[in-house]
Amino acid sequence: MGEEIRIEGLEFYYAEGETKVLQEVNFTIPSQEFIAIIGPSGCGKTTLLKLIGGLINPIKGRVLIKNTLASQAKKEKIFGFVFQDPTLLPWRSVTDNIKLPQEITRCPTQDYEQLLRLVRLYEFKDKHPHQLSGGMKQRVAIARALSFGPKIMLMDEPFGALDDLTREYLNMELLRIWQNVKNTIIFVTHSIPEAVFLADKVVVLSKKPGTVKEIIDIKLPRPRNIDIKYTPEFNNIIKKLREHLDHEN
Amino acid sequence: MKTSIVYYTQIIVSLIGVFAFWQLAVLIFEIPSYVLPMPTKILTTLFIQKQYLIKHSMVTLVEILLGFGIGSAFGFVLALAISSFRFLEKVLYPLLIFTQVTPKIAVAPLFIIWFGYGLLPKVIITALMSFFPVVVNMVKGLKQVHPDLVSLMSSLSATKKQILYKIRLPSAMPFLFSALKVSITLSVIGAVIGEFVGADKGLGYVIMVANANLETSLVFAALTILCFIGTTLFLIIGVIEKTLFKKYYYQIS
Repeated sequence: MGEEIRIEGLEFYYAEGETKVLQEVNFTIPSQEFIAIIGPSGCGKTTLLKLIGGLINPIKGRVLIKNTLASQAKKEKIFGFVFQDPTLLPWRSVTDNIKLPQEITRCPTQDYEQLLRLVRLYEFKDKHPHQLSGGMKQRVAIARALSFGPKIMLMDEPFGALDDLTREYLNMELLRIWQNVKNTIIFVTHSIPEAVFLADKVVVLSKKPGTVKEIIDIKLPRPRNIDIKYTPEFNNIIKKLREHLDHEN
Repeated sequence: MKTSIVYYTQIIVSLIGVFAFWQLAVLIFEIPSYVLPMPTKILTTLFIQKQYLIKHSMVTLVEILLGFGIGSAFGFVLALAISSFRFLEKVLYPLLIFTQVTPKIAVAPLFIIWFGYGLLPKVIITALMSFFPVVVNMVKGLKQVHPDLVSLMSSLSATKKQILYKIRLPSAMPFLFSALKVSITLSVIGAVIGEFVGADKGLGYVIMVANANLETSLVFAALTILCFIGTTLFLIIGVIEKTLFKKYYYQIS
């Protein structure tokens, strides 16, 4: 296992003089863990994700990926991004959409058919995005993020725009896929049950300027299924998390 | 299939209706032919003056196509430049708007002085009219890329060139085609304006001469051909667009 991501004294603001988005953020993420980041809206969850992925550079502090700065580590193509909007290319078929990262990075091609089977979209490989439902599009986006074998998946409220049933189904699917791929996932969400259901650890951010308020270990057994949501353990964690977040508002 | 038959029948029937009404109105109110010729008279003129009209139509068609081609190609390149270098937008946009608010009919005589009576001034005027919609729409299309998609490409360390070819250009295609449809209609106007100001051939010239001679039915015959050319070119662009979109599986809305 071992620690994979180390976040040290992170501080960030978009413009001098404006309120800081993040302040003194410190935590570490062991490899192959599923981390959920939760916090009130506008607390800098997305910014934190971009900093971890090396898309932007911190004002103070640093993000280390196995002792390499995130902005450097980015060049090794170790980050797979999934956003709330699937952002598929409408003129490309499902297969061609998940091949996009390979075309950009020129990394070795993968077994795309197997990848499509993993996200249960093999029968739809020749369809185009407008022929798919919202949940299917998001599964294509996940496949695209996995298509070049990234060690770390950064997911920014990926199921936030979906209906509850689809969301629940995709939560299950994500866990199943993660068991197969065994990479590190950092999952931003504003849904407490979603965070608890998915993650090994939930990082609670305070409101702006965002800082780590609490890190809660979720010691629920795996593999998890929907039934776990009705157990007292699950609901105790939810209650605890809600109290942390309520103090903020 | 059945609905398209109904659709075309409706168009044809309504067109016949309009022409029948026109014909009857001229007959009943005894409108003189030099004021408003009957549709049958225009048809006859089209037929009798066939050779003459075809010769001049070809001149105008060449002007339209050259002006449209050069204008939209220029617009395309300009849009690429503007969307790639932000400072160009600030420098060029005021100039572009300046070229568009200047009435072409007013500057056309200058082009005759500078470039003579031939093909060149007409092509320039046509190109000037047709490049603008392409620039404006293409710039919008090239810039309209989802910020998350930009993040995704950046996480893959994509080059500017890769982003342009894989994302920006294909997503600008629908914008390009809307622009081309506007441009082609403006090109017809541009070519005729050029010929109005100074020409010895082309449909614009035919209209000027026929007007001076009160040969109103010949004016209408030339107008009919201009309508036909414009509509046909517009439809051709529509067909190209549809074929491409079918390939791209865009939703045609």
